[in-house]
Amino acid sequence: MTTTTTTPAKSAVNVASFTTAFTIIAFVLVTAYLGMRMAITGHGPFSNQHEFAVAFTWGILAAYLVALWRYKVRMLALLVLPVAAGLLVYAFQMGTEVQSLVPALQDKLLLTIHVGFAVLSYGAACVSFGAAVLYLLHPVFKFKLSRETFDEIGYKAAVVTFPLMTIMILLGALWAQTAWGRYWGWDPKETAALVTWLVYGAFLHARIARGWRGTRSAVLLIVGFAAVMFAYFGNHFFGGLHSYG
Amino acid sequence: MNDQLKTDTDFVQESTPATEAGDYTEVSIGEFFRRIYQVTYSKTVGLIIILILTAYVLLGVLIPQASSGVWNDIQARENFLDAMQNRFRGLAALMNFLGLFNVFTSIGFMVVMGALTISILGCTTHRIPQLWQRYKHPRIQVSDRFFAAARYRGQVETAASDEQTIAVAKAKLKAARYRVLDGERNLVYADKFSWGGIGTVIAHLAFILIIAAYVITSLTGYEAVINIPAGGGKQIPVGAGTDYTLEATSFDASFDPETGRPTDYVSNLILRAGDQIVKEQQVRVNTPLNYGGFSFHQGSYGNALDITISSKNAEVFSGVVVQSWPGTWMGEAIVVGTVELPTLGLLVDVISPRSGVVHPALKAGQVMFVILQASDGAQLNQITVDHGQTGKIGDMSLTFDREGAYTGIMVRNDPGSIWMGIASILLVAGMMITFLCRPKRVWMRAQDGVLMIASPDKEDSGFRREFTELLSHAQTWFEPVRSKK
Ligand code: HEM
Repeated sequence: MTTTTTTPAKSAVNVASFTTAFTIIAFVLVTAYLGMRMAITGHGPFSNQHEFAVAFTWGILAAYLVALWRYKVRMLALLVLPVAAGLLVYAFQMGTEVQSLVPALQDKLLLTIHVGFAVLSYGAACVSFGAAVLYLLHPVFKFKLSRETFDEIGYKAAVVTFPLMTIMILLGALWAQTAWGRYWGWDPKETAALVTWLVYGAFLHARIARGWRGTRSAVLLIVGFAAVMFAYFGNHFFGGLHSYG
Repeated sequence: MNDQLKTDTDFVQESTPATEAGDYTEVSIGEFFRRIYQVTYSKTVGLIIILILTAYVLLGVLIPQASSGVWNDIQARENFLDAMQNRFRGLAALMNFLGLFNVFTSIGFMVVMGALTISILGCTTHRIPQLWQRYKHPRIQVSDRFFAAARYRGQVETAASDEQTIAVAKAKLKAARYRVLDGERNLVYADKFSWGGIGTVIAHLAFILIIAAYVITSLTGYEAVINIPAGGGKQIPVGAGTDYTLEATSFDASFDPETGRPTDYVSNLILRAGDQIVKEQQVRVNTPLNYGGFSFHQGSYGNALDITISSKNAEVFSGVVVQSWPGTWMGEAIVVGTVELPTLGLLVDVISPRSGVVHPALKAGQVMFVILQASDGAQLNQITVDHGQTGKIGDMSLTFDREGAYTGIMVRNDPGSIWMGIASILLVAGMMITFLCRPKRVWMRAQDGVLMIASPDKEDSGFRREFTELLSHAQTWFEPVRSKK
């Protein structure tokens, strides 16, 4: 056992800097992995659960790094990184082999963009989730940053989530239109995405209509991210066209 | 002191006119409608409707839903409800009564969507005059207290006269692409994106258009699957009031040799209007054939019998019979497909032995046609026919042309989809304007050698940064002021 001579404040700074450095390295590695995989498969990361989980992780890391750059709030990592790590573990539980695409998934460009928007919007949703939890924990842990900062990050991330999610759903509808000739079929996966979208819509309107800020608004953001996870893992318990993966 | 600023600044404050307590005794018709209108533009009501809709849609994910195909078929619906009975026991009847097994076509859901539409329309109409006012005639004049109390505020000392100071400020604001409007007593008002509120109007109207497009699709959309023999030259009528026919010259399914997963389905289709070929194309899952408002999608495929039935020398059926019902006859497994002959009031069951089964009465390469009364299913007659042969019963002749692959083509005509496309683009555009072009306002007043700068806009770290930047820029607009000491 060694004893450290650094002051607690200093070591905290070091740990935090290391975390950021590791996050950046992780982001670069995940990017490289996805890039290589896309080069090998010739399509975006949408053909199975493994690919999409890695892409989701990438989206979370990207959104976290953007939030870090804008707000310098490293504490977000406490919540965001465990989610990312959990997803990576999940990704490698799923089959990692490269598979040929079933015919419906062969609209590669459209699906790559569709999944790109999904990943970015879910990543931003994860950041807003992290900010909301930290907002709620603020009185307990007395963080140095003001509580309002977390409220604002939560809101801003949701403002990014909502339009990206809108585009994702609309691109999904466009794909369904070309593949099956009907843009909306109420299949469980698309319906679950609609639920998520409505939760974030309700969040934005609650802020405008009722001036919801703080606790209630944080709770809605947590519900929103729970809905994201539900829509994401939904494949495992509801069938439908999206169970292709 | 802050209160005055708050009402001035809160963009979304509802100005509900105060109702005097005594008013209730006499509610005129105008007043009645005004109150209804107030409900439609209430943002709280709107929020509640969005939350109800969310809960409703969630039920549609959590509870198994009968597809419209199942729901509209009496037998299939009964089977479905039996399965639900087993799953939900005593609750199933109540759930069915509440429409929870067909949420998205239930009356309750339509009521919620209707309420949402009205609420969005109410909110938007109520909002438009306010937005117009803010764009065209923004409030310019502010009290002196404003500069001491606004959320964002700061000041710069200048050596110049107040008139000169304000002239410089105006020029700089214009250069920074603000819209600048003059107030009284060396006051200027400046804003950016004062038109940005149009974004929410566009987004909300787009959402109503989405609902409308969905209604158009549901009410007028046409959808059917037609099975076409691959090869053999048969032209299958498309129906839907058209004289179109489809012929499939081939169908190919390819599979990944390692995993056995399908990799491609291709049908070569020829579309004719009357006798005229109007389009010939390879149709794949993601590349439908489009013509005359119809789209033809690769749906399914399989093996089927290709048969022709004539009555009194006129052809009454020529096409594919898919044998999808299993059954037994004389103790051996068979497969059955049915042809409906509505003009004759008859059904024809086409029966073959299940593949691999040696049947005592049906040889390989033979089929049996069983003719039934459509009204009651009473069996009228039957005949066994060899491959490539024709059998006759009375004035009906039944031909077993061949057995082979067929391709199932989904035929769609959806007048709503174009509106859905337009609405989607508007929705995204409206949101982009809303979120990227947020209105920003700044007031400046020159007084006693000081330029005061303030804005009452909402707390936002991005705008705070911008405001701080503007303030530090303003320091550089003027000659350094010599210390007054
Ligand atoms: C599900 C359908 C709806 C969608 C997609 C939608 C979309 C939006 C969006 C994107 C915003 C901007 C949010 C922000 O600035 O943070 C917004 C604001 C707003 N919405 Fe909705 N909305 C919907 C339903 C409603 C309903 C039912 C009402 C009426 C009760 C309503 C009233 C408002 C109002 C008053 C604003 C603020 C407008 C402004 O600041 O100019 N919305 N809506």
